[in-house]
Amino acid sequence: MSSTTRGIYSNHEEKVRAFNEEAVSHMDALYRTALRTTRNDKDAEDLVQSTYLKAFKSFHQFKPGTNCKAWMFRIMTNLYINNYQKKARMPLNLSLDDMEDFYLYNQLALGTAGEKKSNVEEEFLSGILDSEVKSAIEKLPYEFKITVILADIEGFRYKEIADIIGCPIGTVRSRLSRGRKLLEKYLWNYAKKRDYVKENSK
Amino acid sequence: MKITCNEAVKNLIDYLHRELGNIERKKIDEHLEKCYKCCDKFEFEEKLSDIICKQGGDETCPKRLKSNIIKLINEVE
Repeated sequence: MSSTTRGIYSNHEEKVRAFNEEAVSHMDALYRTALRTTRNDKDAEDLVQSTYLKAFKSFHQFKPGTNCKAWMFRIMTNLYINNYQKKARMPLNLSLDDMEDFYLYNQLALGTAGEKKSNVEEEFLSGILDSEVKSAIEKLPYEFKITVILADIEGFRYKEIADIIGCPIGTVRSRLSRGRKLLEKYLWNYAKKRDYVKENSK
Repeated sequence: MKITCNEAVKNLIDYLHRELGNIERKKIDEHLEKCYKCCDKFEFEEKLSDIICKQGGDETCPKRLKSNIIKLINEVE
C-alpha cells in the first residue's frame, strides 16, 4: 500500500482529470443524501465539500474499475459519523420487533372493511406528498435512515451497503426491514395529520 | 415447491430489493400468482418503494457548490 501512496498519477493535472471523471458525477447523489442526514442546506453543502476534498486527497487509494460511487459514500458516511453525529448519537431504544409488516396497507384495509374499494391503496399512494416522504426519511434514526437511503434511493446492493457503513449483511437486511416499518408508520401519521385519511375505529 | 404466506412475507424485504436467488424469487412469484392477498400487499410495497425512490431524494447539487468543489480540487497542493 505505502508504495502507492504517491499515486499512480504522474502529475497533478492527470490526477485531477481522473478524479473529475470518476467522482464528480456522484455529486447529486451525495448532496441529496447529505440533505437527508444533516437536515439542512448549509451542513449538507459542508459535508459534500469535505467529502470531495477528502476523497481527492485519498484518491490514490481508490482502485480504478471499482465502484467509485460506493467509495465516495463510504467517505461521506464516515465523515458524517465523526463530525456531525457524535453529539447527537443516542442509543436505539425502539421496540420494533412487534411492529407489523404491511402497516400502511393494513391501516388502509381497516378503513374499507366490508366495502373494499379496489383503488384505495392506489389513491393513497398517489396522494403522498414529496415533503412527507422526505420528512419521514429524515425522522428515521440514523442507522435506519442511511441504510434505507442507500438501498431504496441510491440502489446499492446489500453487499455494497455493508461495505459502505461497515456492518454485516444481516444487519443491512434487518435495518431495511425495520426502517420500512417505521417509515410506513410516519407516512400514515402525516396523512392523518392533514386529514388525508381518518383514524379507523377498529 | 409451494410456500406459505408467512414464508413469502418473511422474504418481502429481500424480494423488494432483488436480493433473492432465482429459485427463491420464483417460489415467491408462484405464490403471488395464486394468493391474491399477498399479491396485493407485495404490489403495494413495490409501489411504495418507487415513491420512496422518486420522492425521497430528487434534489440536485447546487451549481455554485459544484463549481466551488471543482475549483478547490484544482487548487489542492
